Amino acid sequence: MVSKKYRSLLLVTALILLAVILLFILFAGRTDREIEDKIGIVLSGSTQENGWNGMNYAGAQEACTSLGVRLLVKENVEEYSGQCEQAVRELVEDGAGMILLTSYGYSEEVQDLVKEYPDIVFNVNFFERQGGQLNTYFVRMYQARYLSGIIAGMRTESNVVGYVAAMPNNEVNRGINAFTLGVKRGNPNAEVIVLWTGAWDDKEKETTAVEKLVQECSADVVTYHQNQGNVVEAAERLGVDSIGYHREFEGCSPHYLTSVVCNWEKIYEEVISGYLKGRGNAAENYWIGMEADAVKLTPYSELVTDEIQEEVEKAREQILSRGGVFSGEIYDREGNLICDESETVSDEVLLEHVDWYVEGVDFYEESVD
Amino acid sequence: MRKAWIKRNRKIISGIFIFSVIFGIVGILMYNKMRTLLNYYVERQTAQQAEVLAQTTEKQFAAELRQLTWTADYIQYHEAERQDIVNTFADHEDKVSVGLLEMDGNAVCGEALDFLAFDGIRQSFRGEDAVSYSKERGLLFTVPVYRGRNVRYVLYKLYDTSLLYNKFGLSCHGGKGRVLIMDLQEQVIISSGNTAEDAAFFNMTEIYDGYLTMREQLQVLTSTSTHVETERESYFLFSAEIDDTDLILVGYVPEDVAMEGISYLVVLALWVFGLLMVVLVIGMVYLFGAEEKARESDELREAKLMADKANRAKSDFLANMSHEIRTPINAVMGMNEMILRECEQEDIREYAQNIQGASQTLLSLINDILDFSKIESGKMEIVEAAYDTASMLNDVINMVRVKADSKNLQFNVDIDEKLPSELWGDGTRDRQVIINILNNAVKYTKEGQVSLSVNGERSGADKILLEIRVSDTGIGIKEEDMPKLFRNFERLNLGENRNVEGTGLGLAITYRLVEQMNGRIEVESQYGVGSTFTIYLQQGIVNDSPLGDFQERYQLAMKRSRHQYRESFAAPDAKILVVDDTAMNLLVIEQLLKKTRVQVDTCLSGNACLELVQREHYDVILLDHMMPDMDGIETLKMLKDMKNNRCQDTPVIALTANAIVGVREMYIENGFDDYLSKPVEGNDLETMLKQYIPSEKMQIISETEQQIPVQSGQQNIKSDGDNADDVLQSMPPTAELKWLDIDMGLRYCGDSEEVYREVLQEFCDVEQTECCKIENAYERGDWKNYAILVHGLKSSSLSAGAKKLSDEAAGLEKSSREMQKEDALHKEEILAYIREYHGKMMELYRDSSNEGRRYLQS
Repeated sequence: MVSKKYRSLLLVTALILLAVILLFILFAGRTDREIEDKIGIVLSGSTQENGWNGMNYAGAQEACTSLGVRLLVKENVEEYSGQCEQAVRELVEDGAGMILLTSYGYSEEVQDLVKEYPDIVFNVNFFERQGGQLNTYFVRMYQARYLSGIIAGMRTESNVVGYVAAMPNNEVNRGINAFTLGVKRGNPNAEVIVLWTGAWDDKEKETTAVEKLVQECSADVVTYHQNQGNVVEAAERLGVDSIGYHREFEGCSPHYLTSVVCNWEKIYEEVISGYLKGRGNAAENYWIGMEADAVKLTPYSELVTDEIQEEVEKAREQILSRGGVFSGEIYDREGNLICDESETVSDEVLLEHVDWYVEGVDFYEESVD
Repeated sequence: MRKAWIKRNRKIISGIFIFSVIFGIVGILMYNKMRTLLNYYVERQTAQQAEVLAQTTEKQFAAELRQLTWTADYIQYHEAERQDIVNTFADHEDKVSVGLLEMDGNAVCGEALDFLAFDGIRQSFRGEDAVSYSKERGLLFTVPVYRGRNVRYVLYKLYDTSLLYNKFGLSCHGGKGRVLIMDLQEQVIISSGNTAEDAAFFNMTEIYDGYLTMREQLQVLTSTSTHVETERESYFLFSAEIDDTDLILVGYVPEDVAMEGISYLVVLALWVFGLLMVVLVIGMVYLFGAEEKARESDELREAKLMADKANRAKSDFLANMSHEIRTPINAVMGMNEMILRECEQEDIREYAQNIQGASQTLLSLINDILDFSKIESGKMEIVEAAYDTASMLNDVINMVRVKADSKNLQFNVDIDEKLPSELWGDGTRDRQVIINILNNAVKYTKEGQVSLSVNGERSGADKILLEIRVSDTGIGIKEEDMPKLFRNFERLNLGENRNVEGTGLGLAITYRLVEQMNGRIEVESQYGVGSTFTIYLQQGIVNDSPLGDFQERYQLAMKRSRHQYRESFAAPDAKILVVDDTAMNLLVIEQLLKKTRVQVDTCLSGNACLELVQREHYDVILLDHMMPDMDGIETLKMLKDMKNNRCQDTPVIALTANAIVGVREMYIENGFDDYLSKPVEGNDLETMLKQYIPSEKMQIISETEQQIPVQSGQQNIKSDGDNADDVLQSMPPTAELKWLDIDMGLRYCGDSEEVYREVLQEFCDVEQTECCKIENAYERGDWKNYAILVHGLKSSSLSAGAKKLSDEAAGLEKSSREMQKEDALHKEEILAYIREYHGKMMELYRDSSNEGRRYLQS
């Protein structure tokens, strides 16, 4: 006779085996994505910053959410301080397979790191430093600059438009050129005076620059290429027209005409999706623009008349159909022909070789002198 | 019955049910999991296939673009000849157009195209190669034509929609799957060949949902696949991006095609699992059954234990019974023997003989039971030795003939003359077996005959297979009773055979014995007609000389084996002590030893025995086992331990009525020298004493000394025969004849000695049976038959020359006829006469026939 103890032991064993079988059936060979993808972003400022860094962060965060990946953030990482390298190492350690570098200086700092981590995909949103695993992404911001330039050209009465810019590089130059082409289209007699601040984020310099441009050069419309919106604030104080960058400003006078903004979510979606598809290291560059709804102007102030708006709309249609900002006859400041009447400047040139300024660009130093 | 089964096995059934349910659930889970995993696997495979298909398209597109780029390069450096170049490049296919566009929308060569209709034109003006599609126009390949670093023109090649399938169409899975190329707006660019069918397919809700899922997945994957079930059929949808374009490849393949080969895995697993489950259920049924059986066997074991207990109780009972019955029989037979020995009065002797017969029957019943108990306990031993064939058969026939005669049955004996005269085997058991069967035949036969035939068949150099056949004309055995035949205590047809005596063990013992002797029994029977039992026994041959005419040897052996009590020794100086709590038993032994002149002291208890041994020395002590207060074993122990014991070395023989298996060993183990089983038989007792009484006190009585008759030969029929035999041996064969008148006999036979010899032979042959018949009739007072028999004797004896016998017979015939008359006077006187002369005549009859036999042998 099988003893009772033996039998209950047998029963318990059977139940445990059954549970194991069930667990095995339920969990073995799971078809779900096992590892959660992680992406790291390195910001030079705070995620809460109301400008470049904040916008980048918000866009990346949204893209990650919609694609179901986790975003690891390193904020306030100062350029050229060695913090960037540390931040990247930490992110890699935390499992990030892709690092988004959002500041111009980083691309120089990570040159060695890129080689050290061949499996990690690096993306930087500047075009000067690319190749290898260092991929680039950006938007055709110049399209919006061109449109905002038309508004500035049609609004200026002094025929002088001020442009506060941090330092010259392809991106900044492209912006200045496109803006100037727009100003010229709106007002062939107007000119753009560029004032270099030498820093991406320096309120005092930027404020001073606006004051100089308005007071010394009699500019009555100003715009800028800086991380934050100090220029708009200064212009408001001085009562001149201004065109913002990165974001829409609230509580401003009608002199704040519009802002040039880009849809970071869109671009990050593209970049991250490319990474997830396994194209991360194919050194692919992302450059999307108005046709993908990646760049646009924020709603205009009442000072932007219907006439101006019509003209802007016409230009937008042209861009969407033929893509032409840098199309047709373009001369640089020295009078060299950049583009002939029926030609278009190719993307290759726009991305890597904008070391020229179109006719109509002046520099503060020169104009003051 | 069915209900009962279900009730009894409710636990088993519910167990099996629960297990089946569990296994069913597990099976379903497993099946689903397996389907999921397989689908996942096939999805991945299909996705990879989609990627390969997409790459095919990419290559096709790339080839187109490469051609265009070459042309564009050529145009860049030979702008003046651009018209010719473009014309040359366009190979003038139907519905394929080539052209060169300018920034402002004009066509330098070929047809001007709507910039808004084709995204690719804008892209190419920025310097990219592009593929774009317009539903109205078709598929457009565009490349930039540079001037310096700026884009001057866009070179295009346009394929009309109607051409696309033939040019770029794809197929997969050997044509069983469909592949389409769509743009992101779900516009089909390249159909799978049948546009309507494709549209209908993707219009199905489930398919469209699957498509949307794939679109979502394409955000993070370059290719994907999903399993979709529609009402009609299941499909694997797949999709992949076509690089450098805004196009995607979408396709579907029926499940069975995609899973070809793999689906057998599912079928295989299902079958295996299903069959395993069935096997498991069977195993479980078996296990439960085994458990049930184990429980049953536990019960059986308990039952067996009880049965063993009961059996032991039965054995104890048998032992006790044997003691209880043998003790009085001992007394009866012993005393009876005394009467037979000492009584000179004929009628008393007759009564005593009857008592002897009855006692022997009773004893044989007890012996049956004891035999059976031996067989039951497996201690029945077959002791093989050489034995005399004729003697064995004689014993058999002697035993049975009397019984057969007394029932007026004809007993036929047919013994093969060629049987070896001496055989090797257990003669005693052989005899027992044959007697049992014969007794049975006699027992169950009311009238007719019982036949014994013995034949032998050589089965080797010194081996013979005895075939002993016993047939009767008895009541037979019913067909349905055959299997019960050899069972213990089985008595068939009890109603009819109630008055047949016996334990019902006879056949069972016989069967076992035969089995133990490696023989077999066969039975044929017809109910109401008779039965035939055939026993086959393998025996060795010791003396191969043929048995010869058995009848003759029988007669000889008869004479030799005639039993007569005769003391075998005398020991007037020997002194023995007999201890038994029954005075009768003491008396029996005293009487049995009277003639040996051994001095016998007796006492009634162990204590008395101990007293006596202190005073007297005995040569042998017979000590009863079963005694009140102090039994034999205790007494012996005390005896041996006693200091002033004068019988320290005296052999002690146990007396026991408990003559069951292993008893001898038991007694010897307990310090006895031997044992005697009660009822004590004279011969056994004397043999035993001869062995233990010191030889110097013994006076062995030789053969001649033994001839001193104990009783007067006139009364002792048996001893008479023997004496005659012995006397004869000292006489010449032709000596004068006392009872036979040869001359007269010859006269009756026409002076032919041959005829006379035949007549005399017949006379001698029938003597025994005739004697029996006459004795029977006499005992019953059946004077009618008596007269007839005596009448027959009168004439037959006369022709044999037995004149005196004839005269006696004539007288008795007359008297018995007188007895038959109812009105006869002086009946008393006549009866007295018959009584006086009957014995005389019988004596004469025997003497005459004995003389006749001697004469015949001479």
